[in-house]
Amino acid sequence: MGQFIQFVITRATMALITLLTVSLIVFTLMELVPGTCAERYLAFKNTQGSQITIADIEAEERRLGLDRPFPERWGKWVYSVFVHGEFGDSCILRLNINQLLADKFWISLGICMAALLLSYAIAVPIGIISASSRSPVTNNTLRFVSYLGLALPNFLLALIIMLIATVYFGESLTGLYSKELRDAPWNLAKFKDFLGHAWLPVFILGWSATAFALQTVRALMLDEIGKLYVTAASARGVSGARLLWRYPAKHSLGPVINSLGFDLNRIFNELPIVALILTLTEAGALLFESLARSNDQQLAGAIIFLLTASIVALNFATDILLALIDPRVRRGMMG
Amino acid sequence: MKRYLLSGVAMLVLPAAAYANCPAVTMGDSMGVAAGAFPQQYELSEFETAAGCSMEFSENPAIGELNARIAGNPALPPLADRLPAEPLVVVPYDSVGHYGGTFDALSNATEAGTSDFLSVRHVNLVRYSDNLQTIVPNVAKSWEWNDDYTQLTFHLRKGHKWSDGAPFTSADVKFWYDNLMFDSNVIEKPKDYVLVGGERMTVDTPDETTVVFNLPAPKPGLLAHFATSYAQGFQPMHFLGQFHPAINADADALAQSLGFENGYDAIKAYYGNSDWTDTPSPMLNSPDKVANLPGAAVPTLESHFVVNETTEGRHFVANPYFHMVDTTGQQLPYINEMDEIYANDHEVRLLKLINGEVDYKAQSLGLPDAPILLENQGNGDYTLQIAPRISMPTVSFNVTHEDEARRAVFGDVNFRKAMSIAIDRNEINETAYFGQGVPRQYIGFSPVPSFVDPSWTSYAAEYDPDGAKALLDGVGVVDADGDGMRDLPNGDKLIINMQFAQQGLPGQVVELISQQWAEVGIQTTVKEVTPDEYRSAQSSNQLDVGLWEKSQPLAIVLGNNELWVPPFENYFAHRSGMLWAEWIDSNGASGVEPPDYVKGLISDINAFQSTPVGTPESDAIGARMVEAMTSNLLFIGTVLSSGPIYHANALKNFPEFKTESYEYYRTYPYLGAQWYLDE
Amino acid sequence: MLWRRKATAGVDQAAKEAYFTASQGQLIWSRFSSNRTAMIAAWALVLMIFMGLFAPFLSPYDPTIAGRDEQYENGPPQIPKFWDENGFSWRPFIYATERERSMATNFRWVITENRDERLYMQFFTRDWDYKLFHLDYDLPGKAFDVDFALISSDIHLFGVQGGQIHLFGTDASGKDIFSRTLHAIWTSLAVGTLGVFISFVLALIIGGVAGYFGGWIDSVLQMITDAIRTVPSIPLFMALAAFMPDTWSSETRFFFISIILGLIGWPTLARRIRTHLLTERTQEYVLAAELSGAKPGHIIRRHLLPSFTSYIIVDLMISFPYMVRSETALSFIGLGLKDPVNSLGALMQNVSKADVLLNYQWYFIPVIFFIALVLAFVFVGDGLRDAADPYSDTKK
Repeated sequence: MGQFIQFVITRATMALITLLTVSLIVFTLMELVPGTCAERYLAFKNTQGSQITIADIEAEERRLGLDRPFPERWGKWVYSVFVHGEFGDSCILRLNINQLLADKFWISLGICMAALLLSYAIAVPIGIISASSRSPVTNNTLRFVSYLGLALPNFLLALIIMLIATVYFGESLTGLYSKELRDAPWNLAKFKDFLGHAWLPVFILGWSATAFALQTVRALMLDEIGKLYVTAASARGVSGARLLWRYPAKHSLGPVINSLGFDLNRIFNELPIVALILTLTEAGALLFESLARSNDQQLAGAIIFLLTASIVALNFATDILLALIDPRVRRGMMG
Repeated sequence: MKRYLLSGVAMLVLPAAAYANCPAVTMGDSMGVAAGAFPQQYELSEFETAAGCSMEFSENPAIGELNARIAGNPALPPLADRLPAEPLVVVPYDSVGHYGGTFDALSNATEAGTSDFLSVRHVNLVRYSDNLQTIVPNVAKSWEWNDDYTQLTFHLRKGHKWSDGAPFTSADVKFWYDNLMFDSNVIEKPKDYVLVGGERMTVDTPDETTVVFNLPAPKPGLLAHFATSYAQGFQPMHFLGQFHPAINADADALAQSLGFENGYDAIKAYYGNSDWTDTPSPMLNSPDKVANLPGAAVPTLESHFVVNETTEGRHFVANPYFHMVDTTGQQLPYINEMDEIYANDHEVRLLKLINGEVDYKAQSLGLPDAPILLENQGNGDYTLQIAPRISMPTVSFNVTHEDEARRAVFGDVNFRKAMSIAIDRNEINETAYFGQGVPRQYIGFSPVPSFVDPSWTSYAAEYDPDGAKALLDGVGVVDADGDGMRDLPNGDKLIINMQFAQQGLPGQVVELISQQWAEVGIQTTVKEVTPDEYRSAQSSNQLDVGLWEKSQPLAIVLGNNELWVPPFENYFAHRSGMLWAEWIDSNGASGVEPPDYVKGLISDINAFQSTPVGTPESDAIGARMVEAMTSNLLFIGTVLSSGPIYHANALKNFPEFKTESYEYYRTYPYLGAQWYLDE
Repeated sequence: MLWRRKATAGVDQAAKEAYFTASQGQLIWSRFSSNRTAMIAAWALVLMIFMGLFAPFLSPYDPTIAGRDEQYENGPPQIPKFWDENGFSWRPFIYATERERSMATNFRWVITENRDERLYMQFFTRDWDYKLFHLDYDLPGKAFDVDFALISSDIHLFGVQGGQIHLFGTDASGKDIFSRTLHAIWTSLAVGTLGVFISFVLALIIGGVAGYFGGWIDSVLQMITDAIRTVPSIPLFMALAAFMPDTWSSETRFFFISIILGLIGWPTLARRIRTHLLTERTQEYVLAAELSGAKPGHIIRRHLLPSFTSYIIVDLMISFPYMVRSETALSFIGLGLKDPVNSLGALMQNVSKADVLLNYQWYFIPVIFFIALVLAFVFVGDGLRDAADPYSDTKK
């Protein structure tokens, strides 16, 4: 037990260090954009006819702490994010970022997690079953489907679905809520309405992930099925579903769980573009707008950081889960 | 006997008939009632006399429930106490409407692309009627000028109330003028339209319903300003005044008790720091404090009041204290609720429009969008009108660019002229406007007034790429490094960065201009940004070129000089010469001194506004202004065309618009309050 | 598998010998060539590379704005015919078109064919100038500018007399989509190659060092690698690309995007190399080499590297589609390549517009090419992996 706790602590520390490194990357990105927050803010105040002089800009920079050296600013940002969970204000929109992101991030996360679960719910059973089939037709079909997942990226799929929907059904299939429930507080009706709209993004985002997962599960299963202990079990008379499940499946699940974090990464990857196409009002769309249409690096940095933090958190959780399930991992990570 | 009986009955019936409820007069069917002093509307007594009836008022059955949703509103008093003693009687266009429905609107983002929806519920002291010629009463019942246009008196309506039930009086107008417009803590620099030749006016309030503006010099355009501007000439003194240190000695303490830094901070949360009436309410800018505030937004006289605001949209309900009624006495507005959502992507907006999810839209749409909108009218159950525009897409060069080399080049009028004749306006007209427009140079006025020499409208508007190349060579912008593209005189690369927002002009026009300039050797990059980003970059003097629509009719210019004084328009539109503006505002302390012709423009516009329009003197000044503006090509015009106006078929009483323009304030002349939804 | 039967038949001694003395490359090739799907994909890939390489020759019109057909904007594809009601012709032809537009047509150009006027196709026509196998890069700093061409010509494979032929239709400004697609294939391939190359070099160095030396070097490098891997790549691309000044020339953008792709792509490859090295370096043959006194460099070069060359080749092939896909995604949202240097992604930029979805569906044609390109890479990569793995036949 002590070993396990030690393992958890090690893992947690590593996750934290990863987060810090990520925060450094993100913060550096935020700094790269020309034009400081002070200039932007004062440019807005220009609307009231107030004049901006260099002295004003410098004063504002001092007020916002922009003239401090880089490590100090990074440290402050990290402190504010890690300890308080506060991301500060968006320079362009002049609103607090937490307030801006609020619901939206949880929704994005929810959609992506749902996509992940959906993809594994489909891929795992089909992958396992197909591994036991020797037919070249199944073989090739599955390979083709999984390659299509790569060749037809989520956003292209979204486009094609939009095309069909708009041309043939006259529906725009966009948005996350119907008009009436948009401003309502969360209750059962709103949740059901949300589900009614969210199935499409979940499906599209899960598409690539399903394709990959299918291939991965099948390859892993094939690896395991070839191993001697399976042959031994089969020789002993175990057969059918029991053979599949008790032996190779359990062991191939390990790497599958391991890769959950990276699957989430891939899903987050596609999220901004899919959100753009389907006009979802959530974090992915905000990210796109903040990077492509305005230069809102604070908002973009906050969103990227949150996305990455979720992945790190998921990685951490899966590592612990794996350690619980698989004794090899426990031993391996200790040594 | 029969005769006595009949006449007896007649005697009984006639008076009853004389005092029956008023006929449902509409613009389509006047029912024999003579028109009033002003088109499409009457004062109450005027109507009752003309129609021979006694008006009985009725209200929206849902108004009680709607009122309950306005935070801070008292319980609903009876209708008679909510309407002014003399409400404005409005004649609906087609039919007397019925109550109900939710109006769906689409804007770009908070404070971006919201004005056409804002104009639907907008009110001001007066209004232009739909012929865009006649000014008619609105909040004000009547007005008078004195002989030499140095005194303008408005008569308000007795018993008119704000949306929270408090009385609306002349003190609200004075408060707006003295304590908001001229308090530098609220609005740092007074807007030009509250000044006359740079001087302040004084506002007197002899009694509750009379407001007198005393002008230091004549300015006949002041009245038209109130008819066309988004800036409402009144604000609730009972509400904002409680936070204003000049009105309420305990303002700061009160504000602090509610969580603000001081009184002005509270005013800023409600009113913002400019005259723009569509600023975010405390629901968006101070959500943590809203619950304790006396109201979720500042009370208004508009037809609808905001009850919910997020970064994704807003929701409005009908104002229970609105001052207009229809000819049968129903209190307007007919539409119960309004729902506005934001979509910052042009394609997304188009899709929503095609699918019939919006009830009205004109802003941010251009003629290039017309084909797809026209084709889907049946599917989406809407109608698209095409109406002439007043402003046209214009290009300007940053003559006070941060980079000295560029400033020198952009500041050379020959460079600007070269770029103007390098634009193939016919191609723009054919490609983007389907041949429906007229190539035109920017002269400042649109439509073209009579005193303007017509040749100015085509000055440097011909397509002459060889001439352009010759001029560019003359300026020193030649290809120094042999890559086929021209460079600055000092040898540095010249790449012109063209940032634009779809709200300002169609993207296709920008791309065409960019290609045409490339053909004379000027390299450009084109990038679409949000309106916010564009305005922000413009404010901080970071743009190479300005790209937005521009032009105003004569009537507006008489009241508002912003097109003729650096930076040549307000924050929301097309500005240039930012550093000249800084020089003027700081009285020479910082910025760049503008050239003489700009100073000439400033003095000319002041003179123009003080001179009665139509006189030879005024014409001469006007012609001079146009010559200075056009010959210096500060702004380069392209094509004046028409624009689309979209409205759902379920939206009734929606007339043919005379123009598709922001000038005259969009839907304001067309009485949005009497629109109704017939699902 | 044919060769397996031959081998196990044990009849042909020469074949057996050939098998046992064949080099690794020959073995891989023979296995690969017997995999039908992989061969088809390989031919498709070669065909597309060829099309991209000779794009200027194959395209009748200049893909940039200079080559647009102002009379045929948003025009549907024109397929050449051999035969119509007016008779048969050996030379393929298309019809001359006229167009009109008014309020009645909702301001859309209505294109009518004039079936009596035929425009015959010609081959090896002379049209716009181009250079093949040329380098013309305008990088920051005059010293880096390069302009060198192997073939300069103005001959094109086909064209039409008295008009223009648009096999895939035209876009809103009248640019020929066929020409643009061919050029875009080449650009996408070029960006992908450069990105893969950069990421490969980086991965080799970093993964190699980490895998070979192990210990704390490995841990530190692992942490950095993991951190970069954890951040979703497309948002990271977007952030980096957004910071690119608009004033850079297209070629500079091209290089910058390839560099970004490479910089973000190396962690995956590095991890694989490192894992493989970690396992291999404990193998006996390495131990044997060390005991014989071989230096680390020699061991890496002569022993370790060849052991997973096949994996590396396969991984490179598999990374290609990811690179192409990432670049396509970036260009699609407008942050990647722009006119006049177009990639498949840039061509797809206008595809999501409502107008296009409803009326101009031929804009989707580059999508088909994109899918075909990626599928080809993937199948070839897969085939290579099966061919390179000496135990693959037992896993089938």
